[in-house]
Amino acid sequence: MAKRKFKLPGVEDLNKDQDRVLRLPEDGQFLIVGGPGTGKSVVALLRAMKFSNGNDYIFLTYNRVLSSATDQLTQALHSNTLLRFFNKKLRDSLKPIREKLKQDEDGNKEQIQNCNSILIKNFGHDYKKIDKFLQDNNFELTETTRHLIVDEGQDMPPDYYERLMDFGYENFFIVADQNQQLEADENSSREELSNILGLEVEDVIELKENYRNTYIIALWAMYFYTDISSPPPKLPPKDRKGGVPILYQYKDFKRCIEFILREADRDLSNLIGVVVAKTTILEICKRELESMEIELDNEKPRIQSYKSGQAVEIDFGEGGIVVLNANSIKGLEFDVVFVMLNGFEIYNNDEDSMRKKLYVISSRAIKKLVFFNSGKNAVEQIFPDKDIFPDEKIPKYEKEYKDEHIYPNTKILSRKELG
Amino acid sequence: MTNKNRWFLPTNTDNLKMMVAQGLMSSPDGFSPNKYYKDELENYPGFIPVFKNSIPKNTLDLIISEQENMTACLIEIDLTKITQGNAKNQNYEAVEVSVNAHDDLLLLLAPLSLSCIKQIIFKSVDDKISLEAEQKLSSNFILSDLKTHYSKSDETLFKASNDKGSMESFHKDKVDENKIESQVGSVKLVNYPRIYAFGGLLTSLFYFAKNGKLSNNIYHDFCTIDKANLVDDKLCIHQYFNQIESDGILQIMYSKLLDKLISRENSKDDIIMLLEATDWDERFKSRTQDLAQMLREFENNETTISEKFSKAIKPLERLLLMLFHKESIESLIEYQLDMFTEDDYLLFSLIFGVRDKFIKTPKFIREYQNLQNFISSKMAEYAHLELKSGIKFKSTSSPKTVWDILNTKNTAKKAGKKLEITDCVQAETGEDFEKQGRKVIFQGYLELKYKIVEDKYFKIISNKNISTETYNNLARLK
Repeated sequence: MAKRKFKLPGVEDLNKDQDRVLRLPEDGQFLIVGGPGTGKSVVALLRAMKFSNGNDYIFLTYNRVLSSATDQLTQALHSNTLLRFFNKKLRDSLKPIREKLKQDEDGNKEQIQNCNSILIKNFGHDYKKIDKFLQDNNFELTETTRHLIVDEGQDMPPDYYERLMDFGYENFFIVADQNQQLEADENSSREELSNILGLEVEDVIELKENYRNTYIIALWAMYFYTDISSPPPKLPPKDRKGGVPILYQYKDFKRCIEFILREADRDLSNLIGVVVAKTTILEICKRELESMEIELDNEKPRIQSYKSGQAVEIDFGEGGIVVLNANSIKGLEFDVVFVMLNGFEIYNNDEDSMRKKLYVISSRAIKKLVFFNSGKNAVEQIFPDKDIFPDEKIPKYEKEYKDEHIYPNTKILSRKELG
Repeated sequence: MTNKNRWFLPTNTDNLKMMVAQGLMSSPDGFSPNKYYKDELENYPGFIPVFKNSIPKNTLDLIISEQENMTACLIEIDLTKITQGNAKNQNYEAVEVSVNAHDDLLLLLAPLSLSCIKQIIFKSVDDKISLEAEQKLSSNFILSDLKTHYSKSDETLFKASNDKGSMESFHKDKVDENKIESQVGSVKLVNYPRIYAFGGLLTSLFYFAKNGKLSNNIYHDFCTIDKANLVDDKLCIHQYFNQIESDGILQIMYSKLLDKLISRENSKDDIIMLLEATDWDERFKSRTQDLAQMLREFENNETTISEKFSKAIKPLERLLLMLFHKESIESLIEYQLDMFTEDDYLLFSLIFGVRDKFIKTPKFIREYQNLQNFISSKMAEYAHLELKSGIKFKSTSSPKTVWDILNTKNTAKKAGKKLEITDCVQAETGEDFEKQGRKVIFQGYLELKYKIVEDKYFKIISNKNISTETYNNLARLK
């Protein structure tokens, strides 16, 4: 199998905003915001590589898959998920307090109960309750790692960061994109993150250029952009060309599997993402990919998957096919993304949630984006009618620059039969 | 007479990194888009301004003015590396390029080779350490050949001297603005993309010269751009860089393709659009249409890649397919398919080098001992040849190709063992021998000639990547 590693950028690959981020001093609190593919994670990783020595840095990500990918591609960095890291800190901090409470002759049963109820949780923490408990018990700082680098920082609420500060952390480098928030309540806006870090508006560095996607894939993703309060990220340059996303209508599911295997066979170092809606579909896809025998130039590509709750056993250090649920792909990027539309549903007419999901899924693709669908699917209803970028979707601020862009008459979807 | 004059190009570490990455000290128009940070280069378009012994305060302020936390540095230029041609002084009058020059500012016609760098001066040791550490964060900022270990921190050079303080804008005051404009206007523009493409081509050929005698010869042919013994497709590429025009069909097709690949508009769509364009002469049309159709079909996954290549017979067809199949020289190097010949790889390496340009040279090749400096000097030489500037540089020692090392008497055997290719080597002697059972007996001391069996060698070496460590070990053999 062809080896993959974190690809170091060339000097010319970083724009002036990214250069500015990389020149920031080691100590302090920093917030970097930007849309998908703007290189937020890249600058976070480069910063960690620049300054890290020994155990002084922890690289935190939202989900396990991303944490595992970061670990494997960079190796030297210590990474963890935001919640696991917090839980460990919480346990380390609270256990001595509980022991002390237990030894206290007067015994404070209520406080011990409070402590237990806090420790019992692994997620859905009541951060305010934790705060009160720490104050009531004269908590002393325990931090050992001085610097925290947080990727996808928007996915944790402000109280999460406040508690980390209670644990003694002072140096935060957070990268975030509020348009990629996962849960409706458990997150932080740009303003909230700025306030927590004590930053003025002008101190927040915004990365605007999309470095990941081709122009057409970025334009396609922009069709699903929902946030009305902030402009969508700047499109990549027009000369970053590539194929138009394709929607294949299939009758025989095996043809989709064959198509994916041949794509992987083209280049064994490519990482191919197959995104599905449900675990049942994930299992079917994986099984079919593993069992199908077709003529290929190379040995059969490695086929891997991850299901929520499992340990991540995906080897991101090698190319191949990775089958994932839509919820696990955040922060990741793939050379080619295949989306199995069957199984995706719009609940309670909440089209915006589905759009947000399609925005995140689509923007994972670096070079190629392919949708497979069979029969009628509600999700397809929110695809553009005419396969060209519609006029009404042009963001207000872009209108004056319309002539410089190739939309609105740009084809952003190609529909084909896979027969 | 010993002269202690020193000549500096004051800039910031951001511009320095970019110049190292692109392989030349250039004017701002030679930088990648939006990567140039303000310094004196933009005040002297087409020239590299170098200051004698100290730097004006305004300049020291200017070079770190664009963003916060920037780091100033002084690139000390070794003027003795420029052996022919003139410079200009601050009045745009022609003057000799000399360490002893009386002027406080010399304008050297851009571009300059990286081998002209004597050392880099930093304000503090921390600045030097910090820049050196940045190499691990980049794929093309490699200081290895630039001898930065000789570079120093020298805070005094970053304090403007009093007399220069009064010269804050001396270059502007002394010169008649109209004269500057007319001088600037008369500077011929360097075709940087073509120069960088030539550097990419040479570097790529240097790597693939490992594949055998044919590849090695062609690398040397391109190194001496004005004389070559080439045919067919390779001749077309050579003529393109030599600016020799021809009305041959193949030559014209290559010329248009290379123009497209060198430009920024070189995506798959752009190549198809080029082939489908209506302005092709009637002699070409059916061929270009067929090629476009072949490329359109390449993206479908109906058959394997090897089947697609096996249907492509002509070199140009295979070349175009490979351009569509692999996105960079790095992925070309990692890709192996048994059906390709040495000739195929040669052509691929030529064209991928052109498309990627020197800046995209894989890090492990850039780190080959002395290669970066050598290619930089070749690019500078080529640029000044095109400009007809008359500027010549002191020659930079040429790194040996793997094939050269394998075919040099003193190093052949040791290199063969290191590369584990001894199975492809035959030993010959003209001496008489006698057979005694299984024994072969020669009279006297035996002089053996070693010969590489090329077919066998190619099969092994084409699947072998030559890492930095391997190459540098080979290059050190004596």
